Formats: sequence, structure tokens, C-alpha cells
Amino acid sequence: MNIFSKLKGAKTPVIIKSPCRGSYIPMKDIPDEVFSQGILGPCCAIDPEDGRICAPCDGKIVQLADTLHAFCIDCDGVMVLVHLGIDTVGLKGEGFSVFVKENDKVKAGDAVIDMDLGTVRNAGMDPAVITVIANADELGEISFPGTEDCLIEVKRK
Amino acid sequence: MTVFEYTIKDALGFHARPAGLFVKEMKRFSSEIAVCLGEKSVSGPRLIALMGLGIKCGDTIRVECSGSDEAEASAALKSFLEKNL
Repeated sequence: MNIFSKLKGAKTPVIIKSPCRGSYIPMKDIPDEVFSQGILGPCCAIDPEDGRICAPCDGKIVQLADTLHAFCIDCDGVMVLVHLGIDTVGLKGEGFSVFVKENDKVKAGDAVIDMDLGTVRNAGMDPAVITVIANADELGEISFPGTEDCLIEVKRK
Repeated sequence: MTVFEYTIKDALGFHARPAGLFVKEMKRFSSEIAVCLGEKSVSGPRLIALMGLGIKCGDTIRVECSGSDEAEASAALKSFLEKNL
């Protein structure tokens, strides 16, 4: 990160949009303690209406799980992990199609992955799409407006 | 410095759930902890960086702990890995 982006980013909160359409689920109600107890970081979920999962912010795809069920975007120093469904690592990629590769730059709203909701549900899994702030220790206050245009607001230290 | 090696047995590798729990375990200790896979190494409880090592089933990782509680940290992390991965 260069000095200019540091200055630019210092005062403005980072807005994380919803990665998909659907209804909001607060962290404490996510049916998996690794998320509901914030073990991966502060988070919230969306019960998806459809399986098109988009970039929740402008940034770089720094990680894409081999099993295509999770990706991480670096949004100017805010590490956002988007996890598609609960325990979906076990599907080993089945039901997921991906539109990006690691190190791609994306804009908020760009399609990243399509998740086939039927495949996930037929496997007995919950397709909740969880958005996690994975480096909260390095950041300031994090709040959850919970709307499509402002799912999470992140302030810097 | 206290060092141990561990070979991952979980078929799914070092994915989000165990990685999150591993990071939580790391944070209990004041020692500096590094996880190394081959030439790559990550220091500190950094979830995304650790997941970025791409640790898979069958890979042998090396965990290096250095600091005042390195023996306890090393024992706790080894036990965590044996139980979870």
C-alpha cells in the first residue's frame, strides 16, 4: 500500500456490499459456531435467493479455495472472506462455477462464483453466504447495517 | 525456538474451519509463531495468509515458536493439529 492510498483511506470507511441477493442473517444466528462465535472474524450471512455470488467490494482476489466454495478479496487492506454455504468444503467443487482467478482485480458487483443452490441443498447443506472481515485486529470499528448496498461498514484504526 | 513438524491427515486440508480455530489457538500465546510449508512461511495469527499457504492433505508443515511460552505454545498447537487435521 502506498502513502497516497493510506491517506485517502484513513478517514473514509470501507463499505462492503452484499455478495448476493437474499435475506440478512446476523452473526449470532449463523448455524455454525466457527462463524457465530466470530472465530474467523466478525461476520454476517445472507440466505441467498439465487446462486450468483458477486464481489462485495472493489479489490483483488487474493485467494480462491481449490474447492471453489470460498474466496478472499483484499479491499485496500481490508481482508474480506466470502464463504459460500456451510460445510460446503465437502462438496469438493461440485455445484460451483467460477469466473475469476487468483490475483484478478474485480469491481463490486462483478460475478465471482455461481453456486448451484439445488446441489448444496440436496447434499443436506445450508447455502448461507457468509461475509467475514478476516483481519479485524488490524482495523477499527466494524458495523453491520445489513442492507444490500451496505452490508458491513469498516472503519480504519 | 521450539520446532515441530506435522503431516496433515484431513482429506480437505487446512480449510477455513480448522484454520480459524488454529488462529484462535495461536492467539493464546505471546510467543512468535510461524507456520512454514516448503519455502513459504507465515508469521503470526493471520488467517488469510495461513489459508494462502494452500496446505493440503499429505503436506508436512513446520511450526516454529519462539518466546517465553514457546514450549506451551508448541505443545498446544501440536495437540490441536493431531486432533483436528
